[in-house]
Amino acid sequence: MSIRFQDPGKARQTRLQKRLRFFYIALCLGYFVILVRGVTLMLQDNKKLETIAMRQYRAAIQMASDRSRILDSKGQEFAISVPAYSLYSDPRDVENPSATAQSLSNILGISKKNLEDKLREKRKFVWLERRLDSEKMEKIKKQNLHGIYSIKENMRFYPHGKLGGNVLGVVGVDSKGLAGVELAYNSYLTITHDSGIYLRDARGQIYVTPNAEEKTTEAGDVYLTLDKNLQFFAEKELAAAVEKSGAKAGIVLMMDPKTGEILIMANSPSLDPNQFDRADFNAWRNRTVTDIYEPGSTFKVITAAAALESGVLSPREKFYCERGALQLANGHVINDHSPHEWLDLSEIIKVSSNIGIYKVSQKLGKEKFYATIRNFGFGSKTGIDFPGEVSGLLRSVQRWQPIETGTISFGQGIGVTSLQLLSAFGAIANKGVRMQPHLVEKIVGKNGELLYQVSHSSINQSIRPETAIQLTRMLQKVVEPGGTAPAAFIEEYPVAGKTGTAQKVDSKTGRYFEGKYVASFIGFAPAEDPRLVMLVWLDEPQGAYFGGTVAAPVFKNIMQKALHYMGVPPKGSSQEMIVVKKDFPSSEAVLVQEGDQFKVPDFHGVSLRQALKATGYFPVKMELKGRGRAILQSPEPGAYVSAGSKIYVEFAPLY
Amino acid sequence: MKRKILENFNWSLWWVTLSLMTLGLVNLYSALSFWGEGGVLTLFWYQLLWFVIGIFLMLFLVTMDYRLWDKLGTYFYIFVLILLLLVLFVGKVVSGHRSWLGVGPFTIQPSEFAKIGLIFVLAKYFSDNPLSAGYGFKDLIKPLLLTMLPFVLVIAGKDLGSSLFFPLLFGTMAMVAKIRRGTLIGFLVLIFLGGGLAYQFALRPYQKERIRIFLNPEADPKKSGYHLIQSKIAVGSGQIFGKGYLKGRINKLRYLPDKHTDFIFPVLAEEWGLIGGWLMLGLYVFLLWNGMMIAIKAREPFGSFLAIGVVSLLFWHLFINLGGVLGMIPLTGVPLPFLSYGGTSTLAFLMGIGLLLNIHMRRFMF
Repeated sequence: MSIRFQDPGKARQTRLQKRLRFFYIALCLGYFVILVRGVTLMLQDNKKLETIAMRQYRAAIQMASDRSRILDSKGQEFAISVPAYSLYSDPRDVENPSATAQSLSNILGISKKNLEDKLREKRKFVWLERRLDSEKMEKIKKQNLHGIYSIKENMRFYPHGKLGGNVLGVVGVDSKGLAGVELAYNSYLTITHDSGIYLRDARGQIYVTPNAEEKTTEAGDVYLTLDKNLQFFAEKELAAAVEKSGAKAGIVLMMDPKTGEILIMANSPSLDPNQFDRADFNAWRNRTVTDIYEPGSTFKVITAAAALESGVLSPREKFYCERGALQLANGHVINDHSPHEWLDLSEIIKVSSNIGIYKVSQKLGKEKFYATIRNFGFGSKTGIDFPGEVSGLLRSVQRWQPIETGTISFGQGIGVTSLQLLSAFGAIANKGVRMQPHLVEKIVGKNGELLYQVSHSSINQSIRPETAIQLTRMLQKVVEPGGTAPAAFIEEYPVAGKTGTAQKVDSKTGRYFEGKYVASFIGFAPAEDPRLVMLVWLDEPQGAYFGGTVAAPVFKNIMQKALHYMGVPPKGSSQEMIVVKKDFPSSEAVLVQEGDQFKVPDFHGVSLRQALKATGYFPVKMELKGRGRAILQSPEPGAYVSAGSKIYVEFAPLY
Repeated sequence: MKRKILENFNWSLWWVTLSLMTLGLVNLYSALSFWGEGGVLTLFWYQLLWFVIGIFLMLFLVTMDYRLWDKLGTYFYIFVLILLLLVLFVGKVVSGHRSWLGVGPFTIQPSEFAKIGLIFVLAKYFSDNPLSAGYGFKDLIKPLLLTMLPFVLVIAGKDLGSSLFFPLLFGTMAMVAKIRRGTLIGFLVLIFLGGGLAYQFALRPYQKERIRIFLNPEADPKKSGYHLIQSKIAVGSGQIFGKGYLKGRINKLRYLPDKHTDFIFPVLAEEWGLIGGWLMLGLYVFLLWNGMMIAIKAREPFGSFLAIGVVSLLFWHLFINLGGVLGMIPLTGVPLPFLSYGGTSTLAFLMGIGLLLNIHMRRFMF
């Protein structure tokens, strides 16, 4: 083989192939550069680019997420979620900001300038108005304005306004619980967790629905232990009492001593959570757990309990009450409201003698006294499922001044919350067993599954059962003639209770205010088998300021009503009477579907609760007025109504 | 004979092309769907149709001996030039370029076919005029003229992106054919001078803008640099494993412009991450490697030049598209082979693949 025989075409092809290999390497290099660029872009700048990416496609709109309901113990709605429209604008799409602002201003009632400024903003998204009613929304839709859009949001609505407002709390504009039960059970009440982040496309369009990042949690309707009807009555009575006495504030608390269920938690002034932003901040707090006051004479019961519990004195032992004034070694003088001579423990409580209880406490000694105080839960939080509870003011016994055992014995020099006091009296009512107070009974998920059920637990045995019974007998005497609170006496139900009239302490000077008092009454009924324990507290009543005159009547009214309401048999009545009362015709009071129509049942004599259940799942609304048993209805029984119509039923109390 | 041809069929090239087309369709579907909405899926079905037509065209080219193009190529070239002229007078204007011709319900872009036409005539020229010492300036006048004709016609239609391919194809093929060193340097000087002058006088404001953007995209992110920044965000935020198919936010929320054509790669990179990006780039490497092997093993120079023409066509498309969306070179709006939506370009690429398959099959025949 030699060059001579080489085919020239073949040789050329070989040269070409060599060049091609070079070319191939060059091509690979070019390609490699791109590959490296891609890799560096994907690996190196990630964090920064991801942030940029998120910033542009995530619209940080604080949009309300849906919340589940809050109901009373019987399932009546305290807080619900209603749809509302929120108006926003993409200013880039607005054609004529001035004209648009004008027409919006007319409907929304917001100043034109304010709106126009928003419409001229150089942004893709700007809120114009949150939570419009559908009427305004319709009007705006009809205007057909460019660049004005709406999102459906959910709005918290409290159908009963101020009722239970301080307990329910507040939900902010972003649907987060800010106070009260709304805050304490926020995680259960929030249906959609990851609110506030929505996707936004390059044109500023918001994608609300298919947000893959949305997490749902275990959400459910929160059933409170409160009873809406009792709460309503209590708030009404309290408001009237506050008005009448000219008090600055007031509290009514009611608990089932056997279970710890709080049935009433009423505050005055009270908060309307629908308009919390307009409310005075003073009205926000739930005073029953946040406010500390000196309990005054009501605390004598605790002293008596300690004395009985320790066995240092016999119930019959008498103490000389110095005819109303006792000068102590340090010069201080203890006074009674009226002069007394020899009183036993029961009588001391009945007439509320400061000197008597002082002498009891001196016999008792501070260690034993302190132990009982602690057993009753003072100085520590009750642990109620409500945010913001305080533990009160109780100094440890080692730091007590010599005189303190005496002053604390009649409720001075110690700070308690109303709930602590209620809880302590609950223990006396419940044979010495102090139950864990609570506000939420259960939480029920969307499909009816039980997410949470409270277990009624006791905190401790604060005192022996015998002591509790002895104390109850003493407390019954308080409402008898000659006691401090005959106004709290109820004919049908024996009441055991204690008044309190405490002078207020100026927190700045540490001295007592002249003429500023806290009047209270706390007690339970029926005394032999207490079903309810209740506290009434009025801050700075003007004029008459004694617990027995200001607070005791309120106690009486509410307690009597509540026991009636709960069907507690009055003294001397037989069980049958109750049975008869309950045996009203009712089972037929339900709607029957016939084709597209629904047959209206006879509601007469039916209870409110039964009437509420009458529609079942049918798309018919019930409009109910009044309380008690049904007396009036429209349409008449036997009539037919179609889906979406309303049935009106009026109720009246039986008695 | 037929059996032998079939035996020599380049199956790996066939499969890699088919894989790219499948990947392209899957990705195109995502690129065309919007977040929470249906999107414009009509284009997806069109693309599928183009693929089917393209595959038939490809198979037709496989059955026809490529050497016939030695003669037919010239006619094809002339035919395409006529189409380009026609475009200038009756063409449709889409996004600023007059480069589409309406054919029934479809529009075709003759410039894509013109690239193939140029490959034919250049391959013929270089194989017919062997110069072992390398080509000088004089030798290159004729092929240069052949290149300038479609180049000027496309430029006249204001389609800068497509027009670039003609000098690039010429350059690549001439380099392979060997240019004399002095001539090469002369050309480079001319290109620089010409480029500078063109920038000053010939380029339109938006084209100048694009070059400025490329040099500094962050200068005005809302306007000029927007496309490039969005593209970088999409690719970068895809990270290693991507955001998942149909979950690319930048694409789905319409931040990416022209995401089914020029910016198709960011869509893929965002959703499939580095892994998906590499898979796709790997397929391209394999495709180009196959093409190169075909060029190297071709029986005679015409086949080699034809193959190298097709390979460089694919390569330059890849390079200009990817380089553009990754911010390495100015954006020009060039489709990514088999991934971008586009009827004519798809047909042109599949024609090229058909030619490669043909050259490979007939590499042993005399």
